Amino acid sequence: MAQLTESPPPPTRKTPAPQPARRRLLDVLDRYDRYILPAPALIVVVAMLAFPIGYTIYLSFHEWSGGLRPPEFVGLDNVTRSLTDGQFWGSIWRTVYFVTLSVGLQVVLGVGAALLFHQRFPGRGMARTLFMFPMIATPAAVALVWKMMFDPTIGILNYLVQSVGGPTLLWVSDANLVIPALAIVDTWMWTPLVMLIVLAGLAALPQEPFEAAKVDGAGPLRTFVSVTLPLLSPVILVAALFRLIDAIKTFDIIKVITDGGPGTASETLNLYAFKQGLSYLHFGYGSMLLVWLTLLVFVVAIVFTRLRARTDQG
Amino acid sequence: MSQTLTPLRPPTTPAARPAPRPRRRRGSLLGRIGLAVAVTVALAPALFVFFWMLTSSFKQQVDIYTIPPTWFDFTPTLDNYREALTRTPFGRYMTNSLVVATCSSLLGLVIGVPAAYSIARYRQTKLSLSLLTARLLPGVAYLVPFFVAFTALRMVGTYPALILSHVIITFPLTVFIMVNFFAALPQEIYDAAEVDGCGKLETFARIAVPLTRPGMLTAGILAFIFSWNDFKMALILSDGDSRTLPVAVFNFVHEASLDWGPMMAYASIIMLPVFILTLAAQRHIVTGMTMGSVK
Repeated sequence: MAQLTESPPPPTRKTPAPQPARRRLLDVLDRYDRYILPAPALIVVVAMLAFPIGYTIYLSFHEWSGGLRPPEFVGLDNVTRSLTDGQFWGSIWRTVYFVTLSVGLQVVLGVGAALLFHQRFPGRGMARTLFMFPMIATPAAVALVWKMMFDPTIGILNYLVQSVGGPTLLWVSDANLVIPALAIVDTWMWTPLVMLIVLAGLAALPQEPFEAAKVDGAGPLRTFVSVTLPLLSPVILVAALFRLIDAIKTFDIIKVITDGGPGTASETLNLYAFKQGLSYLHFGYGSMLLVWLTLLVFVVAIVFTRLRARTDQG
Repeated sequence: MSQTLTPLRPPTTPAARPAPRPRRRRGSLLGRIGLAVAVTVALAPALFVFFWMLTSSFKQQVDIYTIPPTWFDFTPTLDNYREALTRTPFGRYMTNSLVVATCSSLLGLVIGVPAAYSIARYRQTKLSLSLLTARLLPGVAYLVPFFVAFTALRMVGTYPALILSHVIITFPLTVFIMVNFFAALPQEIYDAAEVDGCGKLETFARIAVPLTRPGMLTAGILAFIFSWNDFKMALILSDGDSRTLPVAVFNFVHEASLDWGPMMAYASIIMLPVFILTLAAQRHIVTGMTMGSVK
């Protein structure tokens, strides 16, 4: 606005007059464009990073259940409480079990599917799209379908198992089976992601090593183990990293299908933290658990990034 | 263990049979049959769940509860859809989902597009790195602070609370997709703009933005899907009338106990727009799924 008053437009010439003023303003703004353009994003980043992290850490040193009373500072009480909390350690163990099982399956099946969909065949594009559907479908809704299929009496899964002579399984109602059952759902949802990442890696592979292998008379299996797999390993690691990070944080399907049950048999750390923080409104202890969960994710991410850096060099 | 895994076994077959990669143009007949079988086996579990959802949604309760299950030999009914649409204020939930997903994906574009341009042109790695870090945070870790903050502001259950919380889903997604599009613009375009006396902000608004419109459409569609699919934010930050569809269907379980038919109808309606939009944006789905999702 200041610029506008500096050069008052002659009343007779209406249009050209504001031009230089606007120009000058734009010139000033242009000088700072690299700060102006990302400014709204920076505000959001602060709101979505600094605020949640800061506030969660702050709350983890406090005891608070909301309301008018301010949070009460309790020092490291929540840390010691969590370290002696059997349910916390149990939830960590269940998280590790669930993550190892589901990501392991997804990586193996995803690599397999990528090799398959890398082949040329009519309708390949459509087949790839259809294969992707599980990961794009609304998780809460899809979890309900699985819940129905897991039903011990009317569920289709038991019918299929029994029709090949298998026993009647309780699936998600069985404390020993619930984690593998949930891992199946997670694998069903996320194998396509591993497939797509590996598929992109396959498309970018150099051809020479394969030709060399052919010249050396290597069979398909030998070629796969000695050429394809080593060349693909950085890509597979990336896919595994993304899946690990997200599998640790799995929420929707567990919440909808079992809500951590039966008992606490499928209560992963994320579910336990959610329960403490948002169901019981123990904001302090819930935040402490979320700090642990976040640390777990960061440790996994760092370890895997290191691992990847090593495979890149070798 | 092995029994629990049986439904997922089949797709391993292609892994065991390694890709005969640089092979002859057309494989033998046996090879082609093998390929067809492998593709079918891989697609079967992926599609069966949707098949089962859809057929169950058209079944009468008797047919749902029949063992052995009915596959195609049932009299289709629309009762479940009628039930799903009338027992809950479905129209309102649908509107909520539409409003929240539309607004949050648009807001994601408004905030994300200029940032993506700036990251791509000025190599602002710190900004993209901080977004990557944000990607690691558990979604539930946002929920406690958001819940406390929105409760204090008396905003729980309002559109703004849901929309703002969904921006943390839509905005990084938009940035990661758009960075690719802006980075793909040739430098000559910027040089030509400068020669023509086009200012920097003008270059962004009049040249870069129009050229990357397809990217924005893709980013917008994916952001819409992610917001539409979100469950946990809406679970905490919406209530009663402001519920979105995923939360509505979840609550439907409690209200309708185990009335599977209407539930499957509900689930089918929720997923329909997602699948239609997926077909439109499938090329950038990998970026979306890897970089953009908040879990």
